[in-house]
Amino acid sequence: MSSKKKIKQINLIPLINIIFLMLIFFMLAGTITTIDPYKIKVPESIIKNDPLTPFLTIIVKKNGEIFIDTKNRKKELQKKDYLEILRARKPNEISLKIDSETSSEYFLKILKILENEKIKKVVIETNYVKQ
Amino acid sequence: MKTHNFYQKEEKELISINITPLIDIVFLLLVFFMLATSFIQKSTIEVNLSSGKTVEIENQKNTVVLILNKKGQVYLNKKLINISNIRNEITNIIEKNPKYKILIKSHKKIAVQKVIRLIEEVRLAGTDNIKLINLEK
Repeated sequence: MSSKKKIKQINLIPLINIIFLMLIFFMLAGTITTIDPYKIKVPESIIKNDPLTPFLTIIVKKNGEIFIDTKNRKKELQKKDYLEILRARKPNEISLKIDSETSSEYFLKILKILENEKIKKVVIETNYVKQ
Repeated sequence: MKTHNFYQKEEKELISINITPLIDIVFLLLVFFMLATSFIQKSTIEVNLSSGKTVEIENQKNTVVLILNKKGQVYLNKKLINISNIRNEITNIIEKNPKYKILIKSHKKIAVQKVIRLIEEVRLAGTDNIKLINLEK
C-alpha cells in the first residue's frame, strides 16, 4: 500500500537554474572588495586607468588625519611617525587614498612631504565614472 | 510469471539524487558573492611631484595659470571659464606651444574632488606638465 502512495514534490530545477545564473553573473561581473575601516569616499575620475597594487598606501581622512596601511592601522599617525615609516621602507611608488571632501590644503601638504622624501610616483585612488 | 512481477516492481521505483545540499551550497555561494562583490570600477590618477620652485614656474612666460577659488569657479589666466570649456581652451594653447606648463592654484578649503577634476581636464587636453599649489589668500 505504501509504495502506491504518490509523493508530491515541487520541481526545483528552474530555481537552481536561476540561482546558478545569478551566481555566475556575480562571480564574473563583480570584483571582490575588502571592507574599508576608514570609510573613505575616494574621488570620482573620468579617466579610466588600471588600478595598481602599490607597495605602500597612505590614507588621508576628511579631517586631514593620516594613516599608513600597516598593522596598527587604527592609530592616527603624526608627521614624524609617517616620515619614519617612509624613510624605513623607501618606497618608489605610493598610493594615496584620500577622501573626496578633504581640503586641498591637506592634499598638497602630503604631496609636498612625498616630494621632499623623493618618492618617484604617487597615484591617487579613484572611482571611474562614465561621462 | 515471476520474471514479469520483477520488471513491474522495478518500473515503479524512481531513483532520484538528493539535490538539497547542492542548493544549500549554491545559495551560500550566491549570498557570499552578492555581499562581497562591488560593481564600482576602480581607477587611479598619477600626480606629478615635479621639482622646481613655484615662483620660478609662475614667472615663466610659457605658464598657464588655472585658479580654483573657494566657490569652485575656475579662472584661466585670470579669466573666468566654465570647467567644461577648459579642455578645449588648453588644447588650443598647447597646439601653439607644446612646452606650456600648467599651474593649478586651488583654494585651501576646496575639496580634493574638484582639484582632481581639473587635473583630469588638463590631462585630457593633452598635457601632463602640471604643478599644484594652494592659493595664498
